[in-house]
Amino acid sequence: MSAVPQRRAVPSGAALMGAMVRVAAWGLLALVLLPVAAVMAGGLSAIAAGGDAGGTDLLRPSMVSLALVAIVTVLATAIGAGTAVLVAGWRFPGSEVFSCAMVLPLAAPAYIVAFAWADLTAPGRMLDILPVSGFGGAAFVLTFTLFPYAYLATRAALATQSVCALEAARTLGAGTGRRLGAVVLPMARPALVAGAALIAMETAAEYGTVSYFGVRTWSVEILREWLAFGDRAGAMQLASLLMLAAFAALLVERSARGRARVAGGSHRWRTPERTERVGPWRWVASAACAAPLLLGFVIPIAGLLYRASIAGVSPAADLPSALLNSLTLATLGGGLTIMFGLALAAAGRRSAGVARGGSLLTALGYSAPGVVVALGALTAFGWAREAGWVGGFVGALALGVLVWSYATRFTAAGLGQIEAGLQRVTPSLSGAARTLGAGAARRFFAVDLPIAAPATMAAALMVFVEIVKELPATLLLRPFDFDTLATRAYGFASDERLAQAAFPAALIALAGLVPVVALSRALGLSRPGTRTGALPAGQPTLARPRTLDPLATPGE
Amino acid sequence: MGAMEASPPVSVGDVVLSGVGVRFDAAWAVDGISLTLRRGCVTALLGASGSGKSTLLRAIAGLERIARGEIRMGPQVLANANTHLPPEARRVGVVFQDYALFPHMTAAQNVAFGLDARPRLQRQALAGDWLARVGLGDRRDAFPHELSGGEQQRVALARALAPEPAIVLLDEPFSALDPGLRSELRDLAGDVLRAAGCPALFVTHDADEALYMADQLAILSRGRLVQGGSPHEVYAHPADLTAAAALGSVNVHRGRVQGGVLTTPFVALPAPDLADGAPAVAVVRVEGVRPIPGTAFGVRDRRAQGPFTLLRVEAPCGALWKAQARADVVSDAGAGVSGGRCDLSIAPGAAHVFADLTA
Repeated sequence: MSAVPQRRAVPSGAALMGAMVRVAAWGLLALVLLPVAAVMAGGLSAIAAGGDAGGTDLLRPSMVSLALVAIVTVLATAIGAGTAVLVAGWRFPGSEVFSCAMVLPLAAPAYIVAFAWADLTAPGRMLDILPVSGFGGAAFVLTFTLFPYAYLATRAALATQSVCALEAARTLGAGTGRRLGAVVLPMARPALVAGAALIAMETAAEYGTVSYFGVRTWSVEILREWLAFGDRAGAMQLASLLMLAAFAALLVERSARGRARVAGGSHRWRTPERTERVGPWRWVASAACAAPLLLGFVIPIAGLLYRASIAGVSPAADLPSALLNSLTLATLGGGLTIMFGLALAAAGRRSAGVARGGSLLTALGYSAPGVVVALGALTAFGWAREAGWVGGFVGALALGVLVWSYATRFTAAGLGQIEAGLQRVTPSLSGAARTLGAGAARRFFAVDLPIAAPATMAAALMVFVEIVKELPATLLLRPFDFDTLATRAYGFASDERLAQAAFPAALIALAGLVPVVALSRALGLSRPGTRTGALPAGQPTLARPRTLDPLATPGE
Repeated sequence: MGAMEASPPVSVGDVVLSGVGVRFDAAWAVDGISLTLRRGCVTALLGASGSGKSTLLRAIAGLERIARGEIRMGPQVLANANTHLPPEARRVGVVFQDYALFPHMTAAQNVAFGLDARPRLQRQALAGDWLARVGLGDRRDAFPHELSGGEQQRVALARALAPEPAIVLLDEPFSALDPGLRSELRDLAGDVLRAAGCPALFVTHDADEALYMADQLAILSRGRLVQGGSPHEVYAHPADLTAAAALGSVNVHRGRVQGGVLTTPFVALPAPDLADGAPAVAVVRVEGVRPIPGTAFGVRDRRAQGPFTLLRVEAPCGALWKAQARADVVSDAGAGVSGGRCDLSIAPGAAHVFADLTA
């Protein structure tokens, strides 16, 4: 170093840089959230001006939606948390297999499971006992396809729970029941709440299943208003009210979670001992795990595959092109979403405001049903066309709008995982890079990004599959004659051509299996102390499975 | 970094801290720290947890801003209230408490990280050299998680020193190691640091480690510098109770001076500088209190401490002091301390009387 005094007035330079990063990050958030903002602005201003939401009866869809959300959330959370406790605490026939397999129902979208159950229980079919249809059918299908969210959250929380508290409870004379009720579940409460919130949001946003069963929830009602009655303004007003409710629910959930922070306390991770179950109870435990797995995945998917394998039916001729379209959209949408997630996560590390705002606002986008996002994206597009910035809604431009609305829906999912991955870059790692002379860019590309790479890859995979499964936005925004696996499957099913629907549906489920298996493996590996002793803090593994929760705030 | 590759190992001056203060919100984590870190000299910053020693280290590294005072390196101002040279421009080598090795890079890549301005071949050669110098020549391609704690520590040391920093900072570098490994690495680190020739500062809460490794000692308490100097000087002439207690186990007695003397339950200590009736505190190092044959005090119990035996001696008023004797002198049978009673002899220089500012 030269002996020349080298003064640098960094405060102003750093402040300028920080301000630029903040402005860019909020700009990006605005772009991501524009469809939701467009719906809320357009709808609420029309209501304020005396709009009557197209004359729709607001009470009925509200009651139906609330009832469905309440029933599904309670049942699915109970099933998910119950099986997680069984698998984490006991050893019984098949417990190792169930430990991974309980997440399988996430692979198939609910609407495909709905087609399969409707087909299997239709009059004259194999399981013609009690037809799965209507409100009960929707609740049944959603419960058994969504419970893995609660399972994953609870299991991850149980796996990372400090064994010390459990041992302390034991030495203080608490039996199994008291340990469960007084120690295990209260410590897992934040995870339980997060899992339940996810289930509630997925249920509220669901379109394919409820519309297939003719259940008139808000999502269905909005689309009816829009397409059946051609009243887009009325649909906007309905959608804006729904988003207002979602935003309020999100804020409540956030503040509840803020208070319910039950940190691990001790950092001595050790796999809690699992007790060997003997006697009849072990078979009860096996059955309790097998039942939801059979109902949510094995039976319906086996039924579909059987349907597809019946002689005389061959896949529709356009199946390859639908597959290609699905893969293209998922690649583009996944890429854009992950880029947005990386940019927001990187900015969030520099500014706590961006981190908080990004987490909350992208969660709002995630909570928006596909129908609402499509409506908002079209509205925003209409504004741009009025301003003369863009031409007609055709071809590549329409695809662009579709990819953009995927980013609106799924940035939260990518962001949460990437943030969790970046948390591996501890302050002292950043400090080490800085003192070794690395500037901001080199730190990001040489240290942050490689360390967060496994989590980023996992996030990309998850978003990719979410997009392959996504139905309503794709259905509404796709260009004319542009079909994906999801729209094909739904189209055939709506036309009662279930044998034909089985092919694209099976392909979607197959695509969904890949990240679910990866996730399940990560669940096994993510617990320090498994495998070869303690995993070193920095060893790259897939992100913790509880980061599946796209609503997770960093630092929890 | 910029100027470094143009002029290889240049003599850089001492690092001088004057009146440095770091504020966290309303509270001053450290304040009024003045300290000179000399080239080729290892300084130990000793303090309890929460004393602000790590904050001061981070401020020198540039990872923390200072709100008062100035940090200079020779003629160059690194930081004052208005200037903050960012850490990447300071040429500091830091060994973090958790080592902070990049988990996705091999040992050699970690060491080469700070050498990025040099040609590729030279980087690799230098990284290899440094790993060999810390005894890890055969572990260049190992990832951090494949290395033991001691090996990780040595990679961190090599990584900090490879870019030939102008100052090396070590944050509790040996705290995560078990005792045997610790003493081995202390010697290695001491040799390597002195050979590097730049100022070195390490933070520790371990008095033995500070005394053993340091050429200069600085004792920090509640964000303030209590005393600085050579280890011997600070040990022999502590400035106050805190400084004395920081470097070992002490017996303490509080009282008032009478006629230039502070009378403790065990011994009367001269306090020539204190006025009659002034509150005072006597501080007597345990290793300077020896039991001798006598009957004045009772021996409450004795504990083996390797080559020494530690006794707790009780005065008639009930006060307890600790005393230390060679184990072969005071056996369990009590040779030299007959009938469980003894007198005490205070080694010259082991007792200090300070004005008691807490009274």
